Amino acid sequence: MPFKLFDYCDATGKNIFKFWTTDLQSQQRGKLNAKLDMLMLQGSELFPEVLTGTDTPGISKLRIKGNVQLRPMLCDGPINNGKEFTLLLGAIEVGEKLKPKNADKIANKHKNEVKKDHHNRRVDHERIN
Amino acid sequence: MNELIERLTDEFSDKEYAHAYMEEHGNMILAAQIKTLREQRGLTQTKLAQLAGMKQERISALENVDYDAWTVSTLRKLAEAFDTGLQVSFVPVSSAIMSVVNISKSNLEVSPREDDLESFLKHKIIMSSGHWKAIDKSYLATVETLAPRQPVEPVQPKHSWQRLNGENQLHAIGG
Repeated sequence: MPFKLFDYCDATGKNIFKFWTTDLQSQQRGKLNAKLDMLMLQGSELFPEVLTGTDTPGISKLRIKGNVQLRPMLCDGPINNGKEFTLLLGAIEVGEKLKPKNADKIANKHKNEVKKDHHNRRVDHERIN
Repeated sequence: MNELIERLTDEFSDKEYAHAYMEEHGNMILAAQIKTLREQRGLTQTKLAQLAGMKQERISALENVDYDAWTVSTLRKLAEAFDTGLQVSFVPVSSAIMSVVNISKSNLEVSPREDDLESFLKHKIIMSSGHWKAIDKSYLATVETLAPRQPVEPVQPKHSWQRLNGENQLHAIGG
């Protein structure tokens, strides 16, 4: 794949992003995987506004419509910018407000942890199934 | 890439998953193709809006991968503005899988009508396996009979044939 995807891990090595996806329903998984596959194959250039900015610079979100509005947080890089994306946090949006509150700031904290120790604080993206 | 094809084939056994995936993918492709075709023709969103009889804000919304309220009427207006054909059809799920893995900017580009027709004239139309097919003539090999420059001695032939790189003719070489 031209672009590589990674999942953020906490200090114990637990794949936090994968854990967030375990309770997703079929429809949500299908829509989320469709967007992630396109990111892997083409990056964000070909698809207008596939990555939506947040209040925190360098942190973007994917928008997955449905009964529950999924807003997974991710960033370009942060090790090989332009060649990879790291999924930092699972979030949802309710009434135009993110849950967890300050999800973009939490995602930014995760991003900084990955930058400091990318060997231990992220793993290759695990397919959502 | 084969791995993704196999994975999708497996995942699409879940009907709900498959349709959600294809819907999301279809929305993304339409948005991407509208932007690609607009840029291919050197149009701004405002100019495209004028050609399609829409507002610029609407074009902006249609170019967003999250847009999901497509109508055939809107697509017809855009097809006329881009001067292309529009094909809306039901396809096997396997075709949808192949469109996922074959996505690229060049695959989204479409020549405007006049350019396309000019190019189409250079094609040869043939019937193959019960279907009409248009084949670019430049890809068709021609085999011409080669006349010997000198009378050939009626002896056991010692020539063999060789196809030279980049040529479609067969050349005799000495045995």
